[in-house]
Amino acid sequence: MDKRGESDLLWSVIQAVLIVSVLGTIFYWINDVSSGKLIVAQMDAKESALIVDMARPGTDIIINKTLSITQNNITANFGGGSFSYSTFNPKISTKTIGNGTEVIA
Amino acid sequence: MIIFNKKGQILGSSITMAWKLFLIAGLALFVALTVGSVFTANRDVRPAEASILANRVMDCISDNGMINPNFNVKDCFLEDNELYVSANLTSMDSNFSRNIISGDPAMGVFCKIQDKTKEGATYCIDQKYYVLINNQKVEKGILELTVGVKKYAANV
Repeated sequence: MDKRGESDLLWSVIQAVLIVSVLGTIFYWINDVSSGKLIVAQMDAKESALIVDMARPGTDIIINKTLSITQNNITANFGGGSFSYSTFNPKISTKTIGNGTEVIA
Repeated sequence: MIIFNKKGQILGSSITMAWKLFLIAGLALFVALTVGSVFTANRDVRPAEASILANRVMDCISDNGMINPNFNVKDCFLEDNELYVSANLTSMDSNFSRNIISGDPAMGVFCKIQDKTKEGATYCIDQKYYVLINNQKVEKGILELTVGVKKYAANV
């Protein structure tokens, strides 16, 4: 730095970049949180479990989500997160259809 | 406009900037904790689940609108230590009565003593049905159903 104005400008730019990046991150996170993105997996798993529990025996349910179902545990994945919820329906069989899941209660 | 025309002014400016960043980080933390606690909290589906389980048990133990006196709730759902069902069938026409419990009996005790206006470790519902019992002859009776769902970690 051989001129006064250069260091002045550099510091101003660094401050501006840091402040904008922090505020941008907060804004992005709040946007995600308020739109429910962080609980999508939770709601998918719980709603699917309740639907399966509510179904009468022999009901064929097609859920437009990719779910992982092992025994009576329904696991939903979204955005790198996953959530599992158990059902009490004693007889469930599943298979994957395209981007969805077929559940026979 | 800051002009660094003396030694140490760069250091002073760094300290000032660090303080600004500290304030912004504090603000970010405050916003994250406030907003996050509201929007990322677990959704409690136990009331719906308990209601569905109660309906399922009721459907399971009744046939053509009548309760078989030898009913068994254990076949109605997949038992685990997170669910509790107590069915108490009492005839109003004879001295017949039957009580079936499925699940952890400790949950039944908790269902009786908990303050239902607050979030508890177990969510319980009590239902009472006036039923017909197919006990050789048709009798009128009362079925008291208590259903509890624990699943605390996933819901609270």
